[in-house]
Amino acid sequence: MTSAPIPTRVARTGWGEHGFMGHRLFADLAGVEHASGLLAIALTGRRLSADDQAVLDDVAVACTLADPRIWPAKVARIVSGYGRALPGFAAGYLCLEGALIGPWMAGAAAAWLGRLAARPELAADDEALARALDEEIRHARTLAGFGVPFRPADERVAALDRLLAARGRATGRHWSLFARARRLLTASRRLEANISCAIAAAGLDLGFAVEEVAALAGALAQYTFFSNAFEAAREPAPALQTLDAACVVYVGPAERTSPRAAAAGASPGPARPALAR
Amino acid sequence: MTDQQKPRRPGPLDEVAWPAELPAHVMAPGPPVRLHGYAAEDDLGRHYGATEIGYLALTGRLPSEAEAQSYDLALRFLATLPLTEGPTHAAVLARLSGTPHAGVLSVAAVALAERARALVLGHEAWLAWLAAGTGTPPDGFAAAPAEPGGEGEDARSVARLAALLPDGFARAALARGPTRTAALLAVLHASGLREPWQLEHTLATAPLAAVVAEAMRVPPGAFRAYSMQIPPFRYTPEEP
Repeated sequence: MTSAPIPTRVARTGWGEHGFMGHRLFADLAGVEHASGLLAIALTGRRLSADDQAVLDDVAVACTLADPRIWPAKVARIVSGYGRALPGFAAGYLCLEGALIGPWMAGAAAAWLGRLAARPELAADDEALARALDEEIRHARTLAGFGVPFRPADERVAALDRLLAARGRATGRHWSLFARARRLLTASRRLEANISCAIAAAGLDLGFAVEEVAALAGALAQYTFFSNAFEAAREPAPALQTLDAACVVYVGPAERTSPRAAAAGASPGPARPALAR
Repeated sequence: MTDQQKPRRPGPLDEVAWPAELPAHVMAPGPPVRLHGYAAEDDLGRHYGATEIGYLALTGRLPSEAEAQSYDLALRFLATLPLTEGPTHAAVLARLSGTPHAGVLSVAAVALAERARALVLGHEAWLAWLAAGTGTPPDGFAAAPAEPGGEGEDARSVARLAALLPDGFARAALARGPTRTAALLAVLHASGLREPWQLEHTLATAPLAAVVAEAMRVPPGAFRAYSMQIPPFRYTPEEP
């Protein structure tokens, strides 16, 4: 064995007690932490207060949209539809590994929210904020976390807004900035916020770093994938294993004959794979 | 009537005018099934080998004789990935954990794909130089010189590769003394695989069979035969 030990903050197995992200699992965390608190510890090492855990619970509930018609959820169902849930769960998650939907969009939203929140001149000046938002949109040609497909507004944002207001937590620096940005962009561009930006704003106010927000959003997708994967594994749907042929239309190259088949003429002739000759 | 029993209002996804069909771009469902227009069984199945059909799938065209030979040669050089490499190690761990073949295959495929993505990303400058076809190659892709005692294996491997290539194939790139990976990417590039995804695909799938086979030799649950200290970890918790 020649390699140097790999440093890890995550965990170590002990005798009768285990370390987890710098905490003693049984002595410090057991009986105290909720699942959302454990998630925060897993991502950041930091413990959330009970109030903050409740806010994270709200975020988790509000962002869960597990409709099996939504692309990555359908992938989870197709893969799990052969009878085993975990491969579908993993496959669904793999679909999030891109910048179009899911956690990376929340991470990108956290990046611009963090940038703008760090500019004190924007704190109380809507005109300056509007200019800053225009700059962000000009630079990226879009604004991460804004834009809502298939409906006028993202009901999850409104729900989370209500939940945070009910807890007196809609006044955080990032959530307030997000609320002002929503108001300005709805008025000027008819651009509505989606849940990615809401997760980013709430996550930043909970103390997650910009670079931790994507991981948080990814972790919160587990309920979407578990629910779909387990149901699909229990109740396989033949239509997901094989689509009706009428559902598919071929739009690729037209029917053609290969040079070797053409050379062999109408008669099929002997098989002649070139590399096997 | 409870809320659960009431007929549901259509949701936003029900009110969109969706297309009625899914477009297929590569394979016509048939019958007969066609690949880029060629009949899969009556034509390709009779007259072409698996390597050529794979090339057709990736590029949309049948390879020339030289392209097929060089692509096949690259696949042969890429066909092994020993246990020292992450994807094989991951596949072995999956098997050790008790997962059946499908799980081993999935883990191996994901790890190989991630390794391939990182390799292609790490060779961006080299691939840009290959695409340009002129100028000085970028730094960082030269093989270590052959020395006694094991170092220089890259250079020896590249020499073996060059000796087996069709005449003149990828000559300019291989003459620069590249690393083994850079050389294989140059061969794939010269064979007609130019898109990063085509290169990633080839790097990932070529060793898949060997990686899975290595893992499937491991008895599931043989935990005491696998050292948990390879490689070692050191728990360094920060103060919360």
